[in-house]
Amino acid sequence: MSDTTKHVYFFGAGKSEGSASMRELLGGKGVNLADMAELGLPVPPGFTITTEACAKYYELGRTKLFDTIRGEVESALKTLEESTGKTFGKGPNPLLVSVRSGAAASMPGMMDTVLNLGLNDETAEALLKLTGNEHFVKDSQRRFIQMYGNVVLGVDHAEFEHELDKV
Amino acid sequence: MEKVIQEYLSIVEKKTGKPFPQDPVEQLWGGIESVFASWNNPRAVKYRELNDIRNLRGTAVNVQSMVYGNMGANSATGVAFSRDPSTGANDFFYGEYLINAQGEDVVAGIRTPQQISVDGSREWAKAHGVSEEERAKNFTSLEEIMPEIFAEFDGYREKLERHYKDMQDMEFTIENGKLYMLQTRGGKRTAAAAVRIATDLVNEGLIDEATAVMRVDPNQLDQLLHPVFKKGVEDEAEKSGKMILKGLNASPGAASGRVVFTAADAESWEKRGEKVILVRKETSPEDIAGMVAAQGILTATGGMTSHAAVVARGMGKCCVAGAGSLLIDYAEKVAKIAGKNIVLKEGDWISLNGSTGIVYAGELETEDPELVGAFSIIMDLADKFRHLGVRMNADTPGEAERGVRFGAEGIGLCRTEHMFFDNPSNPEGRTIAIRRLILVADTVKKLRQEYALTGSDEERADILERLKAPEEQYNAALEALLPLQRKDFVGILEALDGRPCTIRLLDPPLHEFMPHSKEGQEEMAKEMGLEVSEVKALVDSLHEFNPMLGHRGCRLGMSYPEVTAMQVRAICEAAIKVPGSRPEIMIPLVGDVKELTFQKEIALKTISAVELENSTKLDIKIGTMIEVPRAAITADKIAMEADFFSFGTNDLTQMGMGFSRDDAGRFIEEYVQAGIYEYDPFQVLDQEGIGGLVKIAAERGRMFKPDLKLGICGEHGGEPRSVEFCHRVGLNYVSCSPFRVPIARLAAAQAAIKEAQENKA
Repeated sequence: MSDTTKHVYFFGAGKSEGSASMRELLGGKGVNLADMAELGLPVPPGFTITTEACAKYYELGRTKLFDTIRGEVESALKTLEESTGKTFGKGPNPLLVSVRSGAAASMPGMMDTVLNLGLNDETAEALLKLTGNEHFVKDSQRRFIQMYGNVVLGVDHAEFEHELDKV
Repeated sequence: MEKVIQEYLSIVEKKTGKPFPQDPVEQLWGGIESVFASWNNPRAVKYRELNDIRNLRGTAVNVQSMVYGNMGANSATGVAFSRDPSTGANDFFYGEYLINAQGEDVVAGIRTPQQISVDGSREWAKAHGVSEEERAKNFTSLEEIMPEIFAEFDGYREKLERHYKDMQDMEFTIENGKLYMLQTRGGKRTAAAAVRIATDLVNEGLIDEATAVMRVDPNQLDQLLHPVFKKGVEDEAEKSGKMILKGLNASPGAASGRVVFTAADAESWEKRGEKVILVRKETSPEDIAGMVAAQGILTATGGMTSHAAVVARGMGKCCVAGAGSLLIDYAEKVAKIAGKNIVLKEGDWISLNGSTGIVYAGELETEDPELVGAFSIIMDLADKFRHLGVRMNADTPGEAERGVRFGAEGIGLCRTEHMFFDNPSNPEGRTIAIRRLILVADTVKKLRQEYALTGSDEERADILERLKAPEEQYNAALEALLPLQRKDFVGILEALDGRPCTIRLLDPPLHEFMPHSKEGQEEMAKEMGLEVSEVKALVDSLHEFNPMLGHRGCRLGMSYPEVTAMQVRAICEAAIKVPGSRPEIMIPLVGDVKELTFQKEIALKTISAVELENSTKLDIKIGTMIEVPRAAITADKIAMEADFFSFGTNDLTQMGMGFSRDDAGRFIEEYVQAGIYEYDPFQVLDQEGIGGLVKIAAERGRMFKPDLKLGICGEHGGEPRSVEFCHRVGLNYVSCSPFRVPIARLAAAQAAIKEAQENKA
C-alpha cells in the first residue's frame, strides 16, 4: 500500500503551502518561514519536510522513509530550481541549499544544521566562473566540508580546527 | 585556502574510509538524515527533558536555497531581537551582525560582532570601554554602514511584531547589498523582560489583558524574587573551572559564603560577621537556627521535598539539595567530591545557584533582583482573572510579612513545630521546655492509665505519690510553653492584619525535638541535670522504624491531650490580644472522624474556658488536614465535624503512592524516565491518583456540607500545573511558601483564563 500523505511543503514568495495552523507538522521554523513569505518578506525559497516524516524515520527506518518521500523531495527541488533560476548540482548557476532542523517547540542550537550543501568540484568551478570571487567560493567550500564532515559524517571538529591552526 | 580544502578532504577520507561525497543528491539525503537523527541526540533529549518539552513527534527539515553573507564587504549575517530580551526595553533595535560571514559565525564567538543600531552600538561601546572614535571606525553599526538596509529591516521588525503580537528573535543575511530573512520566532527572554513586554504590548493595543497574563511563565517569576549572581560571573567561573558540583535546584537564588558543617557553627560564625553556607548530609528541625544564619544551604542527600529544601523555600533561602557526590566527614570537617580531586574544608568559600543546582568554588558576587513596575501590573491583572484564593505557608511574623507583600491573602499552613526550638531571635528556653515535657510525658501517661485501672486505695495513693514529680514537671513545661506560643501567635496574627491564619497543631514525631549527636546529648544532659546515659536512653526509646507513619500528628494529641489544650489556649489568648484577627485551628493527620471529634472536644472546651475567663466570644473555626488516604475516602463523615479541609498533599502523596519522601529521591527519576509517572509526584501533583483522592474528598465533603472550605497546603500549592488542577476541582485556595505566592497567583489566573477559553470553544 502506498503512502499518500503529504510530507513536503514548499515555501517562497507567494507560493507557501504551509500555514500558521501547521506548527506541529512543519515545526516553528518551517511555519514561520512560510508565514514570512506570505507576508511579503524576502525569504529565500525552500521546502519543509514534515515532523511526521521524522516520526516515520524512527518507525520505518531510513530506507523505507526515503522511498516514501523521494518523489516529493525531488519534485520540491525542481520547483526550487525553477523559482531561483538555479540548478542543483550543475552550472552555470548552481543551487546550494541549507538543511536545518525545526521542531514545534524552539530548541535553539540543539539539533543539526548544514550550510552550502550541493558544493562539489563541478559546482565550485561554476560558482567561481559566475561570481569571479575566489575567496567566497573557497571559503564556502571549506565551511561545507567541515560542517558536512562533522555533522553528517561524524568527523570530530578538532581534526579540522587542528589543520586550520597549522595554516 | 585551496591547501586547507585539500587537507580537509583527506581528513574526511582518512576518518571515514571513503572520499567526500561529490554527488549533491547523496549530500542532500545525508543532510536530511542527520537532521532527523539529531532529534534524538543526547543533547537534544536532555534539552527537552530540562524544558519539559513533551509529546512532539520529531523535527521537521527545512531545505532552503542558500544566500551568502560571505560574499565580501557588501555582505553580512546576523541575529536580532525586536525588543531587549533581558530587560524587555524597546529603546532601539537590538541585534548583532558580522560583515562577510555566514550563519554560525555570529554565535561562534571567533570574531566580535557589531551592533545593528547606532544607539545599541554606542551603548555597547560604553559597556566595553571603547571610545566613540574607535567604535565608529572598527565597530560601526549596520545603521551607519547600510542605512537603507537597516531601515528595511526595521520595517520588517515592526511588521513581524504586529503579525505575531510578540517579541521576535530574527536571523538575517545580506548578500551583495540585498537583505534576506532566514528565520523569525518568539524570542526567549528573562522573567523581567517577559513581564515588561507583556504589559507594554497591552499598552500598545497589540494584545488584551488575558493574553498578557498567559504570556508570562509562572515558574520563571522565581527569577524576580530572589538574589541573583551578577551578570557574567557564572560564565567566568565556569570557564576558569570553578564549577565543582551539581545537585537539585531546591530553592532558587544565589548565595556565597564560607563552608560550615554544623548549625551551631553557622550561628557562631554568623554572629562574628561571617557569611556562611551550611553544608550538611541532610538537615533536621534542630538545624533551623543555623539555616537562618546561613546565606545558603547545601545538602548531600534528600530531594525537592526534603527538610532542607522545604524549609529553605519557606525562608526564601538559596538551597542546593541532594548533591550525591558530596562526601561529608563531620569529624574532620571536610567534604570530598566523589570522582574529583577537590576537598572542601571548613572556612572555604563556595557559591550556590539554587535556581540551577550548580555549586562553584570561591565567592561570586550577588545582587538584589530589580522588581520592575511591570511585575506588579501583571500581578494585578492576574488577581483580576483568578477565582482561586492564594495563601502562604508561614511560621514566623517575618515570613508572614513577606508573604503579604507578595500578595498572600492569609496563612494556609502555620506549622507550630519550629516554635519549640530556640532561635537567635527567641532564645527563651523553648527547646529545654519541650524536652522536659517529652522526658516525663510517657511516664505521666502510663501512671494515669494505671491509676484509672487500679481498684485498691492503697495502690492509688502509691501511684499518686509516684505521679507527683513527673506531673509537676509536665505541667511546668506546658506552663512555660504557653506564653511563648501565645507570643508567637500574636506576632503572626499582627503581621497578617486581619487575614485568616490556619494554625496546625503539633505534628512531627517527638524524636525530632531530641539531639541525636553525642555532643548534643551531652549538652542536654548538662542543661537538665541528667546523666548522658539517661538522655541517650530517652532518645533511643523514641526511635521508630517508620517515623512518618508513627507517633505523630493528632496521634500525639490523643496521647497528650494537654498539649492540644495548651496550643489551643495560646491561640485563643492571642486572638483576644489581636482584635480583628482570624485564627483557625487545624488538626493534623486525621484518619477517622473520631480522632477529629476527640481533638475538637478538647479545643471547644478550651475555647469556652478562655471565653469565660475573658468574658468574650471567639469565632475560631476548627478543621482538619486531609493527608491520610482513609480520611479522603471517609471525607463525608469527617466533614460533619470540620469547618474546613486542607489537603496536605506531601503526606497524601507519600501515603497514597507508598513512596517515602526521604527515600524516593533515589529512584523516582528512573520512574519518570521510564514514563511510569509523568513527573516526580512530590513536585507535580499526581492528578490521576492523588488528585483523584482530593476529588473524592472534595465531592464527599461538600455533599454534606456545601459550604465546606477547601484548600491545599502541600508543596504543590505553588506549582503551576497543580494549581490548575486545584482550580478545576473547585478548591477555595492554595497555600504555598511566601516566595511562590506570585507564582500561584499567576498560575491561578492562567487556569481561569484557560478554562474560560475552553468553555467558549
